Amino acid sequence: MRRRDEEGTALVEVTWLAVLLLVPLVYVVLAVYDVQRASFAATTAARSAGRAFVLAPDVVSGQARARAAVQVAVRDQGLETATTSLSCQPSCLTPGSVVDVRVSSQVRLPFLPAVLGDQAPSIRVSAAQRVPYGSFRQDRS
Amino acid sequence: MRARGEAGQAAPLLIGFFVVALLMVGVAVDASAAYLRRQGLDSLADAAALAAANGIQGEQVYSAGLGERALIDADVARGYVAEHVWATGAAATYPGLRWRVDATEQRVVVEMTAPLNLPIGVPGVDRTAVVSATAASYVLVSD
Repeated sequence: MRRRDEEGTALVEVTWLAVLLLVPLVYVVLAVYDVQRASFAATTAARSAGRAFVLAPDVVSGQARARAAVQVAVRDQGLETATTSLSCQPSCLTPGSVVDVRVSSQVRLPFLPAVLGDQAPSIRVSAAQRVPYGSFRQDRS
Repeated sequence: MRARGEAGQAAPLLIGFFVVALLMVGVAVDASAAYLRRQGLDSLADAAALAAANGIQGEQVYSAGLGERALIDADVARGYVAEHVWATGAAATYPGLRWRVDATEQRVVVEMTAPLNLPIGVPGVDRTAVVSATAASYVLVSD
């Protein structure tokens, strides 16, 4: 005859083990993928923004194109915005200059209550790219 | 009567699944770290190849002139790549960075290689991986 106290133990074990092991694991996976998405967005955005800038006909449209390139890369990964900074040494779109693009964004950890506001734990991801503007190209500054 | 050893069979099974899932997460994190490193090296190789395209000043321009494609001085191109890598501080960003410049008069090919320590160790997988990226450039003459 079967012992009475064994009935239903598998269900109990599955339940507490799932809570103990699988729930944290799923949370870690979601957090990792959020950060990963933001990293992919940042590296792609920095790269395409740099390229878009050095191919532009003048500095103003170069900045607009770089910003548009960042927006495309960021939206492609389902994110809202990213902070972009563009700087040129010695000056933008002059022969022999280098443009420095930095893109960064702050990733909030998933499922945190909105009441935490800006104090919510978050991870910062960033990417930088330096693109040379050829020495023998036309001055477009 | 049921055999005694059968009690609690569900727990090892679940823990086994958990370990497998954990290993898969480790592999996914490692793969994305390698992919990010690859993207970084790709961008660096792109920029270095563009910088190398500056190496058109050289004897061949004065002796052969500028045709449809400007001829590249291999040594000058190598110098530009080294200068670009130094200026970007890439050696600090990618420890162990090595690069190879294959320059002919027609085009420059830059290959960047850097080792990567995988963030999560997975049993049976080597902890260090080598990531490399290649980019090429050539100079078209237009007015």
